[in-house]
Amino acid sequence: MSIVEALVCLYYGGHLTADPHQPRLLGRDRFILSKGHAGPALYAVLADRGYFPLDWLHTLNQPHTNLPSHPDMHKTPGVEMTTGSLGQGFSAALGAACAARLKQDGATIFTLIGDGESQEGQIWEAALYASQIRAGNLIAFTDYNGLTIDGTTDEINSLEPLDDKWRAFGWHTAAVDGHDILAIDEALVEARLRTEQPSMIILATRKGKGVSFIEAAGCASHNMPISDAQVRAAIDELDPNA
Amino acid sequence: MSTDSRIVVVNADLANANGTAALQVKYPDRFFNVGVQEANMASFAAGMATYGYIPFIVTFAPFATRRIADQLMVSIAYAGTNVKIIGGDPGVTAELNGGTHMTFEDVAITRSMAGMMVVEPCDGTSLASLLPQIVAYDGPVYMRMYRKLAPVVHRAGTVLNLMRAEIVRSGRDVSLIASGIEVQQALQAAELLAHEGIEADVLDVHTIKPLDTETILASVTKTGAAVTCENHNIMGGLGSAVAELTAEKHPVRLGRIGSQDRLGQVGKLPFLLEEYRLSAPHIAAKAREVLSLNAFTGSAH
Repeated sequence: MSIVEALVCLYYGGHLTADPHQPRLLGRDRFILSKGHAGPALYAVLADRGYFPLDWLHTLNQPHTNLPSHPDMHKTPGVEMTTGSLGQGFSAALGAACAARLKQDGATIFTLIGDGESQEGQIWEAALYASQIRAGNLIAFTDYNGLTIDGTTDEINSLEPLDDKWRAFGWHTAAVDGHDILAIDEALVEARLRTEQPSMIILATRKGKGVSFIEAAGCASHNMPISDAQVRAAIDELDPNA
Repeated sequence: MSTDSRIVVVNADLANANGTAALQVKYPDRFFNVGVQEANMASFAAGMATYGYIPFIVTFAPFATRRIADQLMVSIAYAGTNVKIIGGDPGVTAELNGGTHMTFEDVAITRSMAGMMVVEPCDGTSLASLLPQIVAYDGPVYMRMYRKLAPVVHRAGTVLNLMRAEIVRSGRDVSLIASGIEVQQALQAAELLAHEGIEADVLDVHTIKPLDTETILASVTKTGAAVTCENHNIMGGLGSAVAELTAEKHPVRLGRIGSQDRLGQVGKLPFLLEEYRLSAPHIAAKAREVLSLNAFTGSAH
């Protein structure tokens, strides 16, 4: 839930040029969720945009589902790369950006990584190379919610100062409130102007944003059972008019 | 690369070492050197593959497999991206790079990955024949290959079938089932055995996965005895693949030539072939040993 605003901005804010009814259209912009375990957030957006029927959402993680926990590009329309092992989707996004440049199709490749994921060496491998080759058509987000499974990022491997790190790697870097859609939109507009360097938009976020009992759970919310009553309470809290 | 514009090469700082540097000069926009970052190299290539390119990632065998096993498995095998992985200087051919670079595990690792084809050409002719078929095959392929000009086993221009093992010598008494540099050693071993009246079938198993079970079973059914020969640990590679097959389908007396679960070390090739008992005389000795065992009395078909 920490990435909902960013996804909404991409898919509804006119930044991701793509057609839900032609998911394999050549030259489309692409979004790769490198933080694959956030798959369900992406699914909600893809379903709402019409990439697949809404009732698929009830099949999450069911046997033979088209919506597995971690996105699979062979199972779900709108998923551009199979991800789930942290760091790899980010490299793949860079590869796609290079391919787009080689094809000269004008596509922008968007990707999103986690702050836990930012501890993986592969992230920094790709960061180095993206800057080296001036991958201006690559725009990335970091979901900086400060939490991993075993504790806060500050307790385990502090990333601070994260924005300085990305700047030091040669990326155009912005840090915004990850739940402020207008701020994210502004950052995206600015990022798209950068044609000579890749862009990193660091989203200051809270896990479970908008649902008080999930926010309160902290690290435990990475994987927590939720009862039907809690689901109803959560929906009420998110949208009292629903 | 000249005939197929989908092919791109992704290197990790070893272009001069592995011989792809010339491609960088000729096809600069389809050549990517990510530097010393193999994990990025693999997943980056997978990303290019989602765009319809056919990336070849090239590095030394240990860094193409051990180091990036998860990238091979997730970004390539599981994601089903059409990436071809080239591991150079496998096993004892690492020579003076020594034990840290001497992969006796790469076939075991890649063979265990669902959806990964595993290939090992024995010479330049084989490589030339198999490479277009690897390009035409839609799926991940790991190919381990000795980068130096290998001794010629196949006549120039020979056409091999990617999905079939090649019978390079016919005999009725023992099956020598080999891959890579061991094919030539097996042929030499066959000559030694011939002096003793033992005629060996010699098979060049250039594709270890999927295994050409038909050709191999036909050979061992005929001979009743087999020696597998690989520049790899006897655990997990060609020997294991053949043992799995014969144990299930047609048990025969079987011996495995390869590294006997040992660590690597520095050396030139002739020394290492002796040190790890991979050379022709050792193959011949293993064949005699296997032939001295009592034959299986039957197999359960």
